Amino acid sequence: MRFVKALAVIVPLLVASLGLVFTVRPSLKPCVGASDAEFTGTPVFPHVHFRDHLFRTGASRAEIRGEPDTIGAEVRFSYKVDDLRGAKLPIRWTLVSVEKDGTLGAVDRSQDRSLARVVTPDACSETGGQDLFVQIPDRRKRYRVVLEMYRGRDLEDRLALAQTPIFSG
Amino acid sequence: MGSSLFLRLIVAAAAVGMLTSVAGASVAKPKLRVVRGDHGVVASRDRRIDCGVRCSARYKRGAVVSLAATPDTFFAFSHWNGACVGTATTCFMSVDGARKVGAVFVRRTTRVVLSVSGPGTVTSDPPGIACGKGGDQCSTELPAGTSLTLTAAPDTGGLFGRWSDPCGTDAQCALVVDRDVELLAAFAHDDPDPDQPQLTVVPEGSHVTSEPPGIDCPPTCQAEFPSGTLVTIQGDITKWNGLCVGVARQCAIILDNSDGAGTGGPPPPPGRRLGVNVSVSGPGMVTASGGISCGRTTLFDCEALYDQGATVVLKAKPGRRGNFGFWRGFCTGKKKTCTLRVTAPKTVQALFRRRR
Repeated sequence: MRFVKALAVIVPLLVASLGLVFTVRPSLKPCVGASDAEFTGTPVFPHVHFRDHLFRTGASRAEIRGEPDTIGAEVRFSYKVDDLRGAKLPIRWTLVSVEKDGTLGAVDRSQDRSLARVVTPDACSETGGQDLFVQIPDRRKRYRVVLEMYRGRDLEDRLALAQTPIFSG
Repeated sequence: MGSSLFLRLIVAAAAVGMLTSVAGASVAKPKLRVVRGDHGVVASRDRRIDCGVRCSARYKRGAVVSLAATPDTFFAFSHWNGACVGTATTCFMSVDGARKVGAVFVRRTTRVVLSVSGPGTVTSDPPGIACGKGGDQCSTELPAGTSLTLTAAPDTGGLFGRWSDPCGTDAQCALVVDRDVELLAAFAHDDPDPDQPQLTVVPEGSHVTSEPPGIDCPPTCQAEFPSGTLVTIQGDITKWNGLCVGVARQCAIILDNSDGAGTGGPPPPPGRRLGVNVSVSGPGMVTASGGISCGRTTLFDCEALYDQGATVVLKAKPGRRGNFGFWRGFCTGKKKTCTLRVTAPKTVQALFRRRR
């Protein structure tokens, strides 16, 4: 009986302490569940000036002045990752032309799994996003952008793949 | 009898008059005394006081005396005390009684500022400066008259080049700091780029020019100079970064490697890192600091992450049987060097042509 009474005190105390620790230091909270990653949105905005893109992403006037004002497409992607805390997750993009009949055409050689950034989640579940400027080699053609997220530097463990709608250059 | 008394009265009156006159004179001419200062002199405009040597004089009551305080070398006038008040070096005072005046002198503080370019670091004895690749303490304040020794230590792959005046070409420079000093130090590479290197300036709201001319930024922020040229860039800047480190208004560069200098503050703190992607067509390679070494046979060395805001210099090196053609993407033109600012994930293509 005395043992049960002691447990009734110790267990809530332990739970409260752990709750407090995990609130203060969320990185110590163990991740429970299967690893997962997905792109939750990939809208694309064609005919965007690079300088406008930089302005929207918070670049300084001096930085913007020094950049070319090329026209391209802006992909505003968002993602969600679960139980991948601490993993290095490169996000890559590929620009693919689309033929007149709607089938996929050639991959643009210079934008084939190009590295945008590396996400390193510091919580069990994390969401994020980025505005990505994509250069368009031929404005008369139609394109779509394929986004991929990998685990690690090599291209073997793909966690997520998404593609934008077709857009004209 | 009567005439004798009259004579006595006249003599007595004269004596009293003389005494009164003498006493009156001593009351009417009060003394102005200057307390001798330790590190300077106080002199009156009429030269009757020159303290150091003569520190007091009598003046007619009510006279206006102008006193000037002159500090010794390495010292500055601080303030008056006694009958003069204030911090101006000249004091006008009315001598309407005995007066005492003192002047306080203090040792001046001098500021030494540096800018350093290239592969090396400048340190100081007494400590306070560690400026260059190995540190960004590029200014210090010292009591005037301090003997300061600056030592220029090249990094691996670097050679000390030269100082600006009054230092010379020796790696060690000893000087007595008697006023504010602005010094420039330039290191060179022991394996210079034989090609015509390119200098790029990234201004942050400043205007930067160069000597010899070439940079007038904005709008002309890139220029090529013969390898080994001593280029001095200058502007109304608060801090150099990139190729130059320091807070002097000028930066001297021995341009023997294509590189970039920025202005306006420290580089952005490491935060978001963005990808720079290179693709190569034809017989040649593209290299850049940070890990890019991209040719036809490589794959992963064609990309690298850089801090947002960083400046990356890409170099195109043709193969044995190739010529460099041109850049495409975020680099343009036919020069073998391209300077890229990492404002977004970027892609660059380099095209080489097979030599016929």
